[in-house]
Amino acid sequence: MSNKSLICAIETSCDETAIAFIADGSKVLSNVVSSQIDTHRGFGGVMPEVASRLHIEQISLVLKEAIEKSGVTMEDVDAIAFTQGPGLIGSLHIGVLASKTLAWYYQKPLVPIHHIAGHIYANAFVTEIQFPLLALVVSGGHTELVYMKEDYNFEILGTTQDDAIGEAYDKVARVMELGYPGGPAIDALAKQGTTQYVLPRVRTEKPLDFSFSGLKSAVLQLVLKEERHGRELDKANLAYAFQEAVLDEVLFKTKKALETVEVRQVVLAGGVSANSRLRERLTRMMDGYPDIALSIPPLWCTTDNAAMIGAAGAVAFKKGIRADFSTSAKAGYDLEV
Amino acid sequence: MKQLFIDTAHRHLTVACVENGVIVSLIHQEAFKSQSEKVMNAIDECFKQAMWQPRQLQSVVLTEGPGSYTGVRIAMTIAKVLASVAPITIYTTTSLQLIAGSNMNTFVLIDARSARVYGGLVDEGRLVDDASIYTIEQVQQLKETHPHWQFVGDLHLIGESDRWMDIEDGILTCIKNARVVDDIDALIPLYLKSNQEYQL
Ligand SMILES: [Zn+2]
Repeated sequence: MSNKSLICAIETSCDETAIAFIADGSKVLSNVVSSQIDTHRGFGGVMPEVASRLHIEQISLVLKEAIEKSGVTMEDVDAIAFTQGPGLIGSLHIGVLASKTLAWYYQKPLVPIHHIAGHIYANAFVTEIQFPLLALVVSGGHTELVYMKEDYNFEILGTTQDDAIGEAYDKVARVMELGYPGGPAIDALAKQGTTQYVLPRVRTEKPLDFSFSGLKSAVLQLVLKEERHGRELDKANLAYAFQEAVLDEVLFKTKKALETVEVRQVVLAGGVSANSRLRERLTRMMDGYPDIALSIPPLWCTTDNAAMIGAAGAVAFKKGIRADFSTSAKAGYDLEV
Repeated sequence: MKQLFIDTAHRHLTVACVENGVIVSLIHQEAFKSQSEKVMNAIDECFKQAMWQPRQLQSVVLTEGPGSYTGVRIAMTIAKVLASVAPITIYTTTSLQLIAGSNMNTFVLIDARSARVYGGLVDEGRLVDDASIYTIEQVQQLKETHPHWQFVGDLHLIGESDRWMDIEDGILTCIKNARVVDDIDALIPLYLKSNQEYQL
């Protein structure tokens, strides 16, 4: 199957307004991301209505810049790929409408993309994706083990029963007064920490599911206990203990998944894949599987962006996946359809 | 001049193709919470009825609000995207002016939820007061103190039947009084509530 295509991709599912132009599924012609992180930091988290407002303030600027940097014109584009969900409904609406408007004006096909598919296909920028594969998707909104027996075929083997991994990092960072977002802060602090505190092991009913809320409560209890005993909390050691416990859980479940499915490749995906300790530990773990290739996305492609939607979009476009003008944003959206 | 008129601020979806002050095609339908799904097909249908090609479009006139936040962003996203990729001039008007049309001394109220309304006095197509948020009691007081005003819009909020004026008059009056947008990037909806109000 020829991979020739030019995709204009739009992603607005959370707090980044992003538009990219992707050629042949893996060549980035332009990838413009306007992040709202500074605004939401002031609120201590993403405020949905504020996020929608910032998307509409940014959409025309981001679109013009993405077109200009791409060196192509909208006429050249084969299809418009957009994140249909999951995500914040008001934010998704802006990207969906922008996509529909372009599709109408230029009479181009619309290709709806699941946000997670985008994160997984971000790996197309660094490697040739091989099937069957197992994707470990870790982000602020998701924690999933996804099995793909072939291109654009998704089966969720395990998911979180409570918080997403990035959410757990944010909540623990709040308890430890490390600010928002929590992931990078904990990752950095943990580097100076050592094994002083012990946090309990996570238990889930389904063997491949994740759970982080128990760990989060354990951190809170530990903080309160130290306070009660008048002992000073060693934040670096707590960050270390929390991070190791989270990653134990994630890697243990990934290992379990590899016992149930036979794959040629494991790919890491999602915002938390920027975590240095996760990269290190997953790489070391995969040394034990010499027949399975490991792909870790480039740092620029770990957080939300539209390039990854374009990479997934190129595949979905070839597969004939289409949306019409009545399509809408889906806040909750099943990957397995 | 080939103009597209769009209003998605309230529970009706209004889309019209207008050329030189004449409505060529019009879709005006109830679309409570479904503007996002219906708007593009409505635009496409209006263009087909008018026998226009999308590329012939020269200007968009939209209501910037007040109204449902999700709603006002729909028309504005479409306008911003079109103006970003093509030489299309954008004009804005308000949902209050659309509802009032060319009528005199017309106070328009739109449900803003939580027993409040977006309201404003419109006289012959022009906003007399800026659009603002009123409580139901304030509207009732205005009604008592200004017997010569007519009240239109979501009147069920003050215990009367909703009242809507002629939509074609509303569209043409809006187009006549609309303001040109010089900086499309700086265009934001008329929310009447600031970001700070979302602080937890
Ligand atoms: Zn994401």
